[in-house]
Amino acid sequence: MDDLEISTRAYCKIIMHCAKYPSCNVNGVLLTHKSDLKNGRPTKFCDAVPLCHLNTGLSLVPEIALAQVSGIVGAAGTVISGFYHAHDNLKDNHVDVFSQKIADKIAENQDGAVLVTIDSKRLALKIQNDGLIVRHNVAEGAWKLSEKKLKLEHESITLACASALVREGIFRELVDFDNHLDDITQDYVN
Amino acid sequence: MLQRMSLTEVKDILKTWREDNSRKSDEIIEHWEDTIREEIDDLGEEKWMILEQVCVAGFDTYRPDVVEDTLYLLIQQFTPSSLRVKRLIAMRYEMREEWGEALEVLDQILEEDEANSSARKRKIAIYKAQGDTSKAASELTKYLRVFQSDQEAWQELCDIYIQEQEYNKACFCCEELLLHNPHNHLYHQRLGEIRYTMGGTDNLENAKQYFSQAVKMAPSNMRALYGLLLTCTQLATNPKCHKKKDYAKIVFWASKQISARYNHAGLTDKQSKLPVIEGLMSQLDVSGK
Repeated sequence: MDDLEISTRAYCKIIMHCAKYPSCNVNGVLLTHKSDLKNGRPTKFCDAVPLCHLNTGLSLVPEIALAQVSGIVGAAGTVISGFYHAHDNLKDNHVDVFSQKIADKIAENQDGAVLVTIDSKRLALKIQNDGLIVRHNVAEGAWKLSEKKLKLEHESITLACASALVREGIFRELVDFDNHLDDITQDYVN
Repeated sequence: MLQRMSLTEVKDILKTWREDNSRKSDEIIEHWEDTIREEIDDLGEEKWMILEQVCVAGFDTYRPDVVEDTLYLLIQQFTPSSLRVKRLIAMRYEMREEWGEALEVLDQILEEDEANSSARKRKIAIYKAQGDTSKAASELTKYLRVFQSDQEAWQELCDIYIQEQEYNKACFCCEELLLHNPHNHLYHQRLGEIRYTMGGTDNLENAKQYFSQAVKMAPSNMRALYGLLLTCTQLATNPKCHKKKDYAKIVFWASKQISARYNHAGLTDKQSKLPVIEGLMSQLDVSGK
């Protein structure tokens, strides 16, 4: 069983997104290079695009965002291969209906898409382990915990990098799609 | 790291954040550590408000050390019998997740002062933190029967209902907000988004009206422009639709506005923006004019 890998860039962006909006639900998509697709399924996640932190229960902004991101990634040789989300409540790890529906949509267009839940309890100033819960789609609307392990691209160095970004306050410069809608000069691809 | 600022500049920023009710807790702690802590006695009349602000920021960022420093000074000045100080003591229990103790202190405040809205709101916040959203919602509803003009509460209830997917109730809350603020384009846009999420022709028609109103008030509201675009596209591509031409006109207008905004922002080289609109336009063509 092949393991999945997530790049430092993608992982750090996810952590920065969570750090920037600790009191909100956040979500975003994961990207994979077309060359990293094996049998049409993603093996490595090269980048992440942070989407929303406001009103995550409403469908308008994710719809626009997914359409925009699909437009960009096609040209860049990547595909949308996953969806990540985190809850505002520290202890909450469940997959809410909304995230599941968006992930279903992504899975319709991409085999082997993953749904990643951030386990907020495992995040800390000095991150010890990746804190990601990965699920795979088994059927329409059903996401099961993945048997594949999700590795970090550079293991402990990735973790140290993410910790440093939070410590130095650099996460404040991350732009997500909601920020972009408030000021379209801001680039959500970062 | 924030640049070192003078005490006056820091005081002004903190005042702005107090007035706007901004939640910039980690920045407040940084200011405390860089500037304020050494110069507490020079803070003048705002000293106690600033200490309270820093204390709350300490709760938000889990800094028991900051909390102890600030709360100590506040208790010394105002004694623990002050209701405002009691609320902070309750929040300290909240920070430690000692929910029972926190609720006890809040109940004490309410015994002394039944109309104390901030204590009632803290209780609701505790239920939310415990994950008991239905209890939070029912307490908030009870609260709003008494304090009907508390907009922060209506917003919070609206958010809770959206998360629980009780969109009809969320609409009701948002409509209350609109009653209080009929000229706020953000509430029109929010209602439009809720109606759009609910789906169905009637709701989409409704959404279109709210988005149109939002755009009329604030032509630069991107969410409202996109909202108009997507809503009218969906309405136009509905096989039972009788007003295709009218919706199509709105779609073209909205897409022109969006393109113009991107051009204006100097993003003409980002060809990526156009495929979205082209995709939607082609949907209209396919359905037959």
